[in-house]
Amino acid sequence: MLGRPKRDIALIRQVKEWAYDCLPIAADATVRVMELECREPSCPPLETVIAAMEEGKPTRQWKFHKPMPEITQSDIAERATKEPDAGS
Amino acid sequence: MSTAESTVPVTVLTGFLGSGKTTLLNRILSENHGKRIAVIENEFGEIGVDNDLVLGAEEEIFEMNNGCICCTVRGDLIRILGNLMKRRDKFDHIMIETTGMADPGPVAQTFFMDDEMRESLNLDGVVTLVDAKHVLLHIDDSDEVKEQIAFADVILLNKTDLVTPEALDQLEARIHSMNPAARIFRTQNSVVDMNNVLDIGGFDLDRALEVDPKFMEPEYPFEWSGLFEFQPGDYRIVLKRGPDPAMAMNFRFAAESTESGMRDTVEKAVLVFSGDEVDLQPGAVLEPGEQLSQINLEGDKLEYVLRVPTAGSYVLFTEHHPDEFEAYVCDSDGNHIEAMFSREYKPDHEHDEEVSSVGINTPGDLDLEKFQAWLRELLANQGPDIFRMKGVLSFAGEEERYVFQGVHMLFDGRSDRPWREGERANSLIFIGRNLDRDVLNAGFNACLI
Repeated sequence: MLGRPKRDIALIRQVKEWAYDCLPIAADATVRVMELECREPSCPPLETVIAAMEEGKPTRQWKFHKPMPEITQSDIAERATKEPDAGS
Repeated sequence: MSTAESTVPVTVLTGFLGSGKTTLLNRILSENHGKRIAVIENEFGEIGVDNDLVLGAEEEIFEMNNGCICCTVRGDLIRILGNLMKRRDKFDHIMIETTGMADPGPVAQTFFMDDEMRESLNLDGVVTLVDAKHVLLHIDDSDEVKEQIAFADVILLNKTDLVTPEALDQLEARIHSMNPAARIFRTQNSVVDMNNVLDIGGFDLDRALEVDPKFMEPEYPFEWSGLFEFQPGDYRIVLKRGPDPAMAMNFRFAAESTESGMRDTVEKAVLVFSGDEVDLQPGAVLEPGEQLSQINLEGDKLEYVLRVPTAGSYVLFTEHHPDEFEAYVCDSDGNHIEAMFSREYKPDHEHDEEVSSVGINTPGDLDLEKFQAWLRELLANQGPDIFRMKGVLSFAGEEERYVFQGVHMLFDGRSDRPWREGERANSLIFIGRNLDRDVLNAGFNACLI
């Protein structure tokens, strides 16, 4: 059907936990995990974005070119030493 | 949206500085309505009531932009709401006050975007406060005012004591034409029944239809038509000066002197009104046919001749309502002639080329794939211009109504209850900028099977 699929909250929480564990994110930061759809030919159809929001700091985003259910802990751990994709 | 019973409702309160938001918030917090309210205000300390459920927020726009979807959300709100929900048992409702110049879009999108938030919160509605006295200074130039009106489920026209009744009527009509889905209340000192502001089910399409059943009607280029039975000869339409210097009219034959006789001429009249006008000066003659006459309404003796060739039924279509010009029809002796039947039409608003609404109301079943493709394309191209949309859709092969709503490029929907006998139909409304009614209708109709 139309519209956003009912999200598996447990999955979101798992990815969040991995994000807190593996990425340089403070324990009291707010983390959001979102799946975005893309229709451009060069993009994969679904992307996962992990965003970390901390008071007083710009929000940082890490983007993964795969849908949320395919994200693994090592995907996230790999990014720990690299710069985030966006520090808006 | 998550089921209402398990989620906390959230109201977004918007309006310019001085519109009365703080007064309203203070009332909501201190009145005895039995609800415990948590408030997130945009400037901490404004609210006079001592309350540990009053929090301050500093607007932090977080843009989700992966090249295809551009969506802005309020990062600070996500954080604050996350913390607030740890004390979930302490309150029944959350109000979020946005800054005066705010575009309500990011706040609304925050609720659409964030799956975790939707588990525990639901957006109950957007309430916009308007300072009736000062809004006219801004309404033409300010995109923010237009957005706040376009996004609203409820609009409080406040400070009505400072404005004349005529000005209020005009203002309300203007706002209604921008956003016909919003309920408008006139208030003084932000005094309003809490039931009109809290738990309003702002995203419930049925409630919007309750307010003005005509809001789903198509809009017409004329406001009035009257059917007359005439004998051959000259009749006159006599007018006085009014709000406009000129007005378009069409005088035409009807097949019979009945309501349906008049109704059958409407489609042709709509075509005529989309054509070129012929300027006429007082004293000019109108003959029945396909001419769109633009009659001059400046000066004193405003009379035009209706030349009737044969006895029969005739319909006069006027761009504006005849009452605005104290207009009447009379025969050559000056005897007033009343229309046998007359009808008022929802006017095609002339003011807000920018913000407007398009309502689509058609029977038939939609092809799901075609509709999905059309909607995706529409949102990708015009997402930023579409502030809100909501609708009830009938999909081929589905026994249940499909209810949906959207904010900019984000939309969400669910199956509702089964259709009742004879009820199946599609009703949707788009509120936004630069909306092309014909293009939207054509695109939608192409999705019907």
